[in-house]
Amino acid sequence: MERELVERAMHGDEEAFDALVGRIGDSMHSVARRILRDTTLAQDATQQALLDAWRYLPGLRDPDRFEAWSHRLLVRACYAEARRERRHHGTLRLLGQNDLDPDATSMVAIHDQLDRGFRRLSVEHRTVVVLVHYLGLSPTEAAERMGTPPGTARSRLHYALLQLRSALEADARPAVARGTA
Amino acid sequence: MTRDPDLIGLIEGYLDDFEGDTPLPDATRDAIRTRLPSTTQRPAWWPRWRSLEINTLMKYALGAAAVVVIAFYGVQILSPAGAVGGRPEGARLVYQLGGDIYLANADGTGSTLVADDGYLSPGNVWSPDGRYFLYQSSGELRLGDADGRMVSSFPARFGAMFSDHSAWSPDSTRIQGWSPGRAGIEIYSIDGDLEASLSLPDGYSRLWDVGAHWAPDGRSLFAYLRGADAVGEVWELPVDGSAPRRVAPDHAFASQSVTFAPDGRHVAYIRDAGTPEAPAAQLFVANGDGSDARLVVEPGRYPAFPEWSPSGDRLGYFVSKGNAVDLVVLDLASGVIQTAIADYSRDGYPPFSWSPTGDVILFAAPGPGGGPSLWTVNVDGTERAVLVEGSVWGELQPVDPNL
Repeated sequence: MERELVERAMHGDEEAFDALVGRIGDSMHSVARRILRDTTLAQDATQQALLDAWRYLPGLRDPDRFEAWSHRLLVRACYAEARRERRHHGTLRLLGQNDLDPDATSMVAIHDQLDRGFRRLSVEHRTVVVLVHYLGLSPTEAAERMGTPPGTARSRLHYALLQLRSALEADARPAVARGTA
Repeated sequence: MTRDPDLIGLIEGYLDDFEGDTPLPDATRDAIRTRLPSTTQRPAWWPRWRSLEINTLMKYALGAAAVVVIAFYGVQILSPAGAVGGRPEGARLVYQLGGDIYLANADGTGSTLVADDGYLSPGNVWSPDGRYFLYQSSGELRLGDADGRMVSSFPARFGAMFSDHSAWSPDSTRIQGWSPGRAGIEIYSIDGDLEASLSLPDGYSRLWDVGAHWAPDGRSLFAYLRGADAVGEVWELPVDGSAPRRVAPDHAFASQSVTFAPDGRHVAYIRDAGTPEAPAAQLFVANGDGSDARLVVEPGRYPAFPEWSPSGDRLGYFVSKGNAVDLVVLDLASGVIQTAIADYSRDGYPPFSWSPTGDVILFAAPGPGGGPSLWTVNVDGTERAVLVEGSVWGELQPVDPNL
């Protein structure tokens, strides 16, 4: 991210900010879609995060941290959208799987299982998984974006991975699953 | 050590190939462009609750949480130390298996389905008196009784924010959590009715995405807040709605990790004696009023996430040194510290919970087949055994009301 663009935007240059949106908008939208699992909500969250970025940009101390700071705003916006959506509709809508290869039966099954696992996760748990395993951040960096202590991010990540592992194995283990009865 | 590469690969593949990935639509870009002129930029001196400098936040995070750099990934595959052992008796077990919630005998037998599409939030399952347990199902937070019947549910707005930062009151009659928008704290009765909405002090907001703690008498909550100068402070918020009080910085309760024993006789907390650049976390145990504080953890080992046993006689917590994280147990009367699980994790702090008697710890870890399972282990590390294979989490009823 070019520091000059950020500094110009910090001083109210709308064209510079528009250029910044062009550079990070797609990435933020992709992250939001994975956290929220809903295209419309993701667009709303991304738009809100970018408007917040514009609004609070003059207070950014280190222009070199613009992208990380923007992702932090995005996480907040995603949390807000998820809660608003739950209030109105009770649950998030699921995306379809139209682009999956119909011949890849096993991969479709795995995709379905992961889909169920992700749906079951709280938005906070989905967020840490997306930040670490999609954006490639370290847990400490993810904690920065989420506004949590690093230990909390690690704890959430650990639990989220357990949940996803559980989702993958649930279908293959029905006999064992009920075998404890 | 294994890194569980198969799972990580599948997750990363799933996220990379996310269906129908599209760029930010032009309409959204246009909407942003259109709204910029009417969106006032805040001057640099504006309260930066949304623009808190990342480096500053990290310094506090490193200092207060005393997190060491832990090699990422790599969950230890635990080998059963015995076929059956360390299994508590005299209580009920609620556990999650796949997407279902089950209620069972303490040894995992006799399970009955409570709910499908369910989810348990570690540390917030059973009420302290063991009469009820909380679970989420179909996007709703619900309360079940020890027979598995759903007795109440909570508004979706509360269920949506309830994750790993809400808590039962000490008398088991109320549940608290952050309000939507994190502007305050809401307290609900076990009937699902909103009992109180607590406002934060003027100019303060939540510092981290972590929850508040009940005072032992249930009359107030302790919350870690951020003031205008971005420094974390602990405030006591009276449940009756009277004015919040800042906890003196040198008081035992002025730690974001303060944890009261269930009987209120003792308190554990972590303090950082180092610098932001070189954190040196220390675990203290004190009387319930904060007096007679004693340092527990030896230098060079970083403590985290202390949890009291139901009787308040033992304290479990993580200690890390280098890349390894151990789960250890302090016996308060003798001062003896035993290692319950050595080299437990290298990817964070997994949840753990206590048996009713405080002799056994429940924890989730890969089972013999590599998948997650619910395990038990004695506090001295002996008799480690799988309790429910395939279960990602479960907790034992704190007390048996029939005894």
